[in-house]
Amino acid sequence: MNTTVTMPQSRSEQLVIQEMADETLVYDLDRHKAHCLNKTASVVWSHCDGTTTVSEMAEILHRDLNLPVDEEVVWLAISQLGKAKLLDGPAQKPFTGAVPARREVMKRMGLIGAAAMLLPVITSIVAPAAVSAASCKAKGKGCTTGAECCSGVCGPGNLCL
Amino acid sequence: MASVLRESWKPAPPVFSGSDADLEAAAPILFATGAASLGWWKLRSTIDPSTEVHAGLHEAFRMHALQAALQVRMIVTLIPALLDAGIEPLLVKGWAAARTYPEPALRPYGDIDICVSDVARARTALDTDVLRRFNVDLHEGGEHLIDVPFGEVVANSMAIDLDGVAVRIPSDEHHLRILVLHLLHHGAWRPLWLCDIGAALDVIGDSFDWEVFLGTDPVRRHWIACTLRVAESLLGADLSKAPDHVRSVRVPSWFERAVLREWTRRHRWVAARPIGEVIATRPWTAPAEIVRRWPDPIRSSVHSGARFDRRTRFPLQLRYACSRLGKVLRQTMEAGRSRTAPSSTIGP
Repeated sequence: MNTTVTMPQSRSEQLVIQEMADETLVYDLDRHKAHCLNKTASVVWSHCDGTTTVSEMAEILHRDLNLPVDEEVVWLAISQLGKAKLLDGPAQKPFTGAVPARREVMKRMGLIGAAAMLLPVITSIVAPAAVSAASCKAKGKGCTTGAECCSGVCGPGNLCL
Repeated sequence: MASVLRESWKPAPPVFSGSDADLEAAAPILFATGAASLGWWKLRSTIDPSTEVHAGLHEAFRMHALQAALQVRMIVTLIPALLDAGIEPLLVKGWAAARTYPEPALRPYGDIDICVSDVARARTALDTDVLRRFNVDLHEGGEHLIDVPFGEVVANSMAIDLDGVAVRIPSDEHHLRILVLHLLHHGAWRPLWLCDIGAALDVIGDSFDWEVFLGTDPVRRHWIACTLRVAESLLGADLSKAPDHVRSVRVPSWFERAVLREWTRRHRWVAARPIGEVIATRPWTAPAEIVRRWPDPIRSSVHSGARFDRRTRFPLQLRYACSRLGKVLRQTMEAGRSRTAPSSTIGP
């Protein structure tokens, strides 16, 4: 299949984006959700401009990441971007039905082991239990122990003295 | 813990030479004290990527990277609002410390510390729907943070461009002094604070004025020199630019031991109940709770203005514990009185 369907527009409002070496981190200020896009998903998302076609995108992935030229990979990324609410417009695949599952694409393209990591992945970031790095709380702020308070004393009513 | 964080703030940290047991012991403290990103930075190439520790540290790094980006958005919104209200804000700790690290994610911070000359006016300026949601800690004239006249700190401050906004921060000398004194006032319990010192020392230039940084008070000069030496011995901070009298200062053995002990001790306190509540509701458990919260020798010395020497810290700790307990008891009694006093606003 060689579609001339253009890529949807990526969402830009109310997002905080951090480009890292091999992934993109996105914080959705509306939904208070954090996402991590792997390299493939990041490249696809960065080309969601409403003008690049899906087949062009497949070529870009082949050129930049050495992925086999296959539009299904692009549709897989678009589907995940849509689910993560990172697209502005609808992300409907035309004509040929549903977007294949990740496992199906892997099987069809013969991607195994590390190569399978090249498929687009968007994961939610869940921070491990970590206390805030704020050093201490000012007088009148809520507390549970004196260690949290600048004064060193967590007073009555669980407020810093 | 020290072996994990040793030189972890460097762009290319040295390879971790500790054992798996060291790592297992350090991991919970890294997470609990906000040093997980630094842990990942240091260990990313040495620990097995399939392990839970690696995944957790990496996830923390990602989260802190986003947090850092969010904080920057807040700062560039806050600063112009304060300037528009005619208030000159001086950013300290948090972002001002994070900028000395190779990646902003390595130095997470929960609030935005801003020194202003008039907190009441600043509060009014920040009392809007948007700005009220930001976690801002205002310090009038740098109170509790720096022992240098605020006017002098402002006069020597520098403007740094942050996404097109000129953000003022103290000079390198004053800011490093703030970081050291803040660490001491809080008993050095967060390992990140000692890393801040290592990271700040790496970026100071040849023009750094050590006399301005150390100040004139002999006791404080000694505290500061001891802290730098402990940062060097525990974490590999680079003191090559420091004057000889700092590099050769005698550090009492209790100081380094206390730092290491605090790193493993304070994080357990987070879930503890306030001592006032313990005394009021379960007084028989108070002695054990007091022992558990026994003040560390660092804070006890600093709050007494005592020199860091070889003498036992016990009398200072006892005095500090009594003063804190007295404060809690006074406040508990006052709160009790105000609860039982008849209200003047209700009734005929």
